Amino acid sequence: MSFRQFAFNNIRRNTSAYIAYFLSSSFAVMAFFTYLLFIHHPDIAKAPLGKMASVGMEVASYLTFIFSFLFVLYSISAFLRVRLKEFGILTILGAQRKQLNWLIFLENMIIGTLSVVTGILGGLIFAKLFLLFGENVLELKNLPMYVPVKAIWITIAAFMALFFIMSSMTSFFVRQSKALEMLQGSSKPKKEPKASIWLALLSVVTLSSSVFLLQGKLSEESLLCALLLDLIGLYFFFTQLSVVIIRILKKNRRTYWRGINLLWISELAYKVKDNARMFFMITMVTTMACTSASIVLALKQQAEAMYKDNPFAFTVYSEDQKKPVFTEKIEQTLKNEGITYKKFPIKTMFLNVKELKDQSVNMVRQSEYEGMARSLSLPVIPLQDHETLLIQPTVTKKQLPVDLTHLSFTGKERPELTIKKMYNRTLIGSITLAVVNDHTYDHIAKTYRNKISQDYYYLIPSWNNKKVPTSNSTELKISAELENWNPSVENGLILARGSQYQMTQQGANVVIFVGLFIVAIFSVFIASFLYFKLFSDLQQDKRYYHGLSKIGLSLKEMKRTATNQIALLFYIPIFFAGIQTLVGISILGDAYNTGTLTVGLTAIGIFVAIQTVYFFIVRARYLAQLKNVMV
Amino acid sequence: MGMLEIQKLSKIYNGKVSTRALNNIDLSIEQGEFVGIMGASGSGKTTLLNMVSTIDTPSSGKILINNQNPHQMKKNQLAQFRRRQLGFVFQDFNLLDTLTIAENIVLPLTLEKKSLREMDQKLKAVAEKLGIVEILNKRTYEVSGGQRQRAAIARATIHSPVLLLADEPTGALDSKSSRNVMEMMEKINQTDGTTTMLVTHDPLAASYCHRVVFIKDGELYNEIHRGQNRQEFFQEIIDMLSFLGGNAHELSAVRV
Ligand SMILES: Nc1ncnc2c1ncn2[C@@H]1O[C@H](COP(=O)(O)OP(=O)(O)OP(=O)(O)O)[C@@H](O)[C@H]1O
Ligand SMILES: [Mg+2]
Repeated sequence: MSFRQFAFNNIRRNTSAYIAYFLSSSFAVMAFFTYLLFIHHPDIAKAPLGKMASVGMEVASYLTFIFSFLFVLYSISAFLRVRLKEFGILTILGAQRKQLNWLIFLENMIIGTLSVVTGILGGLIFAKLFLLFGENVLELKNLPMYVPVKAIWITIAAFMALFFIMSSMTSFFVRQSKALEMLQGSSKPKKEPKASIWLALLSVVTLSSSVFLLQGKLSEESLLCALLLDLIGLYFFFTQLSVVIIRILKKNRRTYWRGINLLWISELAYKVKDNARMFFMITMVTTMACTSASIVLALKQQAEAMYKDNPFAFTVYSEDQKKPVFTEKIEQTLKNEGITYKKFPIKTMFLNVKELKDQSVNMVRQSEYEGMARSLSLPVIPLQDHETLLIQPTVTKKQLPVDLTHLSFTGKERPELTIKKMYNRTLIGSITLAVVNDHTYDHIAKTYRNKISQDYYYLIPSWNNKKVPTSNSTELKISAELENWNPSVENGLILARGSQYQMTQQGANVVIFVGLFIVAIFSVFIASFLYFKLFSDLQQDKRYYHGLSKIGLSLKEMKRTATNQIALLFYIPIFFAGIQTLVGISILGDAYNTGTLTVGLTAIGIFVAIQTVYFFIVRARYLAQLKNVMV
Repeated sequence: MGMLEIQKLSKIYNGKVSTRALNNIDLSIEQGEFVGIMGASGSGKTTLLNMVSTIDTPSSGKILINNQNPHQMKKNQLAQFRRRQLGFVFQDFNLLDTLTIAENIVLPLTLEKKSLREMDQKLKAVAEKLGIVEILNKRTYEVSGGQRQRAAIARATIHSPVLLLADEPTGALDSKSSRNVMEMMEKINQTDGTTTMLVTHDPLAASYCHRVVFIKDGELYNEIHRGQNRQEFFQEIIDMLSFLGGNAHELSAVRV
């Protein structure tokens, strides 16, 4: 029998040991391939999804590959660890280092090739489903199936290279001495996990200074610094501080020496230390996923609010009054469609206010405001010279200070205005409006002539904006036509509230789609990591529970102990990811000023739900195995 | 009526070839008695012990421990019975590496949710009796085999079981440690009056018993009682073993 035959037979005989490795590799290939198939779809490549979306897709494909890579790497090492004993026997029987490496290389290449083939086939089978899903989320028209030559080639090249490199580097995983050791006494106990008090302290210090930084004034640097400190702190939290905490926990014998606590708390230190790096990775990726999900969903919500609160379907900014091309175009189009409209010309003056550090106001004339106010039944009040009516848009959360009574402006004249009345309403954009009487306006305008722009607002009564528009509504069709209309004129542009809404929605949808894909893959990977981890320790755990069962551990107690252990593996990282996400959102929430918290909680909730499903599956399978050894 | 009553016990392992491991065993052990079970390899000693320790179920026949039939209990009830009424000592110690020696010893009590005070008290008493006070805070891999086995005996007896069961407790030990462990078992038997059943290959270990029962091919073959002198009893056991056949001689030559 040649050595190649031996390798082949080895796989055929140990089917069950290879199947997990094969399936997970195959899954990694499939995930990557499906993604490529999607982004290289001719219709997607042509679709106007915006720059952010295409960058997002690109980044996602790298992430997918990195995940797949780590996943395959992990599978290989888990797989080889399980088989260490077999290598020990081969070594005893006289296999040389070189032969052993060759055997492992051949095996891995065979499995690798098979998983590339099956992964691509599986991807092709699911492709139609995936494209349908994409169509729906992205609100694109029908995406037909195609022959994804490019995706196939990239997948084959990437993964065959990956498997080749990893198969050649197996000496890194398998040390022959280790294999022999394994054979001599597999019951060699693990040493108690050690932790350095200093590194644990470092973790506390970095984590708290990160929180402290976030309390203060936020700049790009402080945010980055906080993130870095957080990363360091979290890493040492899992590798060091956790061990110290468990050690302290064990000191409290009143709880530790009670029921099954003695069993699972003592195991915990080992499990946390063993899985520290994985926990760290899971926590970071989950945090990133949940935070971006909440930002994206918040953006969507904000876009919806902007649409619903904006009374004007079209706005024309800085129209050249001598050659009014934009307004003419809008009016012509509306007339052709037989749609009635009201047009409000407004001269806005964009001014910095001394009392408001980072906010500006748009000053408008009373006569122009009253024209709008009558049509929209807004409050109208008489204004004396240097008196102002402030209108605060509802789409921002930036509140004006309550004790604000005056507005003053920088400049030669330094005019000062007394606030007569304030109310909340989104009228023109998301900037506060200051209405002044015409005399005051003209007076101030002398100083700030260059800050004035001539805008036009179109009210279209027949377009109901209380509900978000469907993609085939008249408003969206006309909006798209007008926004894309591109005359060769320097000044001015049209903003259509419908198109603005639609663009944000589509951008967000792409991000959500890509995000969902990544989260789905990642959570499957996490679950498989944990699955591998559990099942590579299964033999040991079986012995452990068998021994305990003999001295009277009941089935119920075994289930509770094991459940606690598995639950901790699944939920520790999610718990920390949850906390981090909440912190992240509460900071970013200020920037995005909508109900990000609920969104963030939803994102975490979804993740928890997915993991819970996996948890129950893994738990059931694991308990079924252990049940057999209970006497 | 003995403390442990074994009546017409048979065990058949069903497989491709079904094996009759035990055949119609009758055995009665009195309260406070220290009984050894011996026999050639494959004669059914472990099988018998597993029946008594409720780890395995008989094919026919009956086992009564203090007039209770554990094989009629439900699974969870049975686990509770085992940890309250029985104590186990195994050849491979069966201690948990993740726990300290002290934690290993109190494990049966923590599962019963006893108070800390009671646990500390009992732990102290049993550790002193077995001479393992200094190693209580060590880990299993930091102590010798003999110490490990004494810790295992401590765990098996901390809850004062009615029946102590040991399967080759000296199987993994050298002769000095063996002697030491057997002395401890004898001491427990004498001071606490714990009924003890010991399965062993080792004539030296068996010589600490009051009575040794020999099994051959799954059937009771013979039994001998100890007189005053342990050395004499040891010789009788050796003779019996050589009579039974097998390789007992070679074994004993090393040990004495
Ligand atoms: N689980 C089992 N399934 C099938 N047959 C078994 C099983 N356990 C034991 N046997 C058989 O029952 C017989 C008695 O086995 P047992 O383990 O009781 O022997 P033993 O006296 O303890 O031997 P040793 O001294 O080698 O430990 C043997 O023939 C053995 O092959
Ligand atoms: Mg045996």
